Amino acid sequence: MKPTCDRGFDANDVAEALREEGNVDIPDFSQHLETCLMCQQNAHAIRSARDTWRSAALMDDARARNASERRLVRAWRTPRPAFGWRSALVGAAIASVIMLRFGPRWPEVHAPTTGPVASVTPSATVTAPPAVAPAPTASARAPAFLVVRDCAACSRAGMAANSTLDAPAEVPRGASLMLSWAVPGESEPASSLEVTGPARIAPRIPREAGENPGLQVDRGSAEVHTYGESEILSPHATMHTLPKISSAWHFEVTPTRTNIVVDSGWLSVSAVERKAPSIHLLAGQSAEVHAGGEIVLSPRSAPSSSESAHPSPPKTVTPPPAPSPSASTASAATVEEDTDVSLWQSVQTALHSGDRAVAETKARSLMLSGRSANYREKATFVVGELELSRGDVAAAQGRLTSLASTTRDPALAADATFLLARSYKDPLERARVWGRFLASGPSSPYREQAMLERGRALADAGDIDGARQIVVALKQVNPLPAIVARGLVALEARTAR
Amino acid sequence: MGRLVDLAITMLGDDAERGEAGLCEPPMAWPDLVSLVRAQMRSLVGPTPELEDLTQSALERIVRAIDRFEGRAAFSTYTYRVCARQAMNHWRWSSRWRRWFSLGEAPEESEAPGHTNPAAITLERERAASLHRALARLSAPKRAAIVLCDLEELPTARVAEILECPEPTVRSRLRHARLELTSLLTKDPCFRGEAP
Repeated sequence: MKPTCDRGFDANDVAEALREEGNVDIPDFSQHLETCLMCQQNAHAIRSARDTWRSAALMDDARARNASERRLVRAWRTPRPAFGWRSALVGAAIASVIMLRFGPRWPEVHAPTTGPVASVTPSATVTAPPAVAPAPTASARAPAFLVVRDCAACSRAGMAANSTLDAPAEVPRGASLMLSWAVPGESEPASSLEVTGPARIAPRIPREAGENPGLQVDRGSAEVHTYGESEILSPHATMHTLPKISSAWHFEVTPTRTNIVVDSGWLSVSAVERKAPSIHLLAGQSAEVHAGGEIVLSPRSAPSSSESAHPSPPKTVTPPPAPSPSASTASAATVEEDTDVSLWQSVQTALHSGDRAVAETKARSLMLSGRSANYREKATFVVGELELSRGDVAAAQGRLTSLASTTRDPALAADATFLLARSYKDPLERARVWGRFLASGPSSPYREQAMLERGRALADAGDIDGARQIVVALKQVNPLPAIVARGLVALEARTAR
Repeated sequence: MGRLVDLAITMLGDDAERGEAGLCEPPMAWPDLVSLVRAQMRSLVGPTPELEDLTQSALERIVRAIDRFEGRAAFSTYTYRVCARQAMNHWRWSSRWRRWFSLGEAPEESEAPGHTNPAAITLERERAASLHRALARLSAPKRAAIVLCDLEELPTARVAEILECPEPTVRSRLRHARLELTSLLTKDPCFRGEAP
């Protein structure tokens, strides 16, 4: 018997509709999907298979990185003394005499460390430096946030780079403020929090020594990268990470809810309103925490907490003592009203009319809360373009680097790489960007164009031999795209000189 | 990856030895080629225990047959084709082999960084194992088509180029593969969760 539903859709039709190809009428099918159990099961199976495949690949990448770090650490050999033990004894005796003679003059050397900030104590013995410099741990953090990077609007609002954020602050519309946890002497390099205006933020200074400072985001959107234990709060949710774990996520706070999307690592999310059990989100998963304390998990992915071990994971986690019954229809009603398509169209309309502020706001909204990965990635690209156009190069470079390495769309990856390469003034850096693109697999249909761009950058940087090798490689490609062939003639002429 | 480069150099000799043996140079640096082939092979077989061996075999084939590369397609397409042929041969062979033999339990893999929740790690592994079991029940051409199209999300035209067959053939294989795979997955408890 052919496994089709009452409308005649089978698994192939569902898969084609999910890929937005084939002869399936997408709007009609989307309506049908809401009611047809069989199509829902097929769609769930296909999406889950794809998510599992991606997750396995990501874990493989992470393992490879981990193995590479282990190799680096192993490559470091513990220095062994080249002199004999008698010389060591004589050296130790001399050091003891010096310490006894001059020790009392340095009382601070022996003073106990107070407070959460560990002071740097001179050591009498020379220890080998570690092979890989460890990232500052959460315990080394000072109870403050530092402004790492500001913009003109932030500076006018009193938030200049290297200043400390010690009071609630308003980030103006269109501004981008990057903060980090303060560690002795500098800001923590492995962690950052980028807030996009309009937003209202407030530091939560710890009351007890050793406790980490948290940041409350009352309104606006933010992207967080942390290494170690960190806590970010919104009026609806508490987001918490564990020590020694790298995590990245972005979230948007609206008056009614907080939308959270985890990009990498692991995040524990709990509702502020009620004492509900916290949920754990892994990379690619997302959740909405509503003002009433209700946590709605994204239908794109199942939760990674203990709830997901059930064969039928509940989509809505509602705490038991609910004053008003919340039906699933209520959560459905609060789901984003604007669909990805309409949001994307509004971004395009705003761009065509030249209203960059509106376009960026809409694109950021789509980037943070879009349900389709394709639209989220397209929106990320637009945000990167707009950031570059207003001179926020560092933010755009971070965004485009991430997009170029993670997107599955070869055209978008090539576009993002092109834009990223153009954002660097140094031709050698441009060549490196194209080199990374070429080394990343699977292969792209834009490979020849990328090779040509890398060749041009190498020629600009004076590496004529490198450019010549690319010319030789490109001349062996047959057929060569016309646009590449034209560029190749010019590059060949440059390398022939 | 470093181990693969070392292995490839050990097996195929250094630049001078390859030159003496009459082997042509690939049009890209060794580490880039190894990286490309491993990524392409992983996109076909996933991060399975046999990935490193298959990558090694594919690299050997590519280097030994590089002088037969005519440049009618991009070099990356050529390497992808070699990987696809290698993976499909392996699937055919392993399906016959497993009728009579078993390798026993796979060794426990080290934890990936970023995943500390044991329940989540176990669930992810279970799901990945179930998916690979389901894929192993498909024929090699169907498996290659569905992996490249639906899991790696490559365009059908590109998949046809890699598998060296017409696009309608890919669509036909894809249709049958989707029906078989979803029928297997919807019966699997790991994938039978509440539909969105």
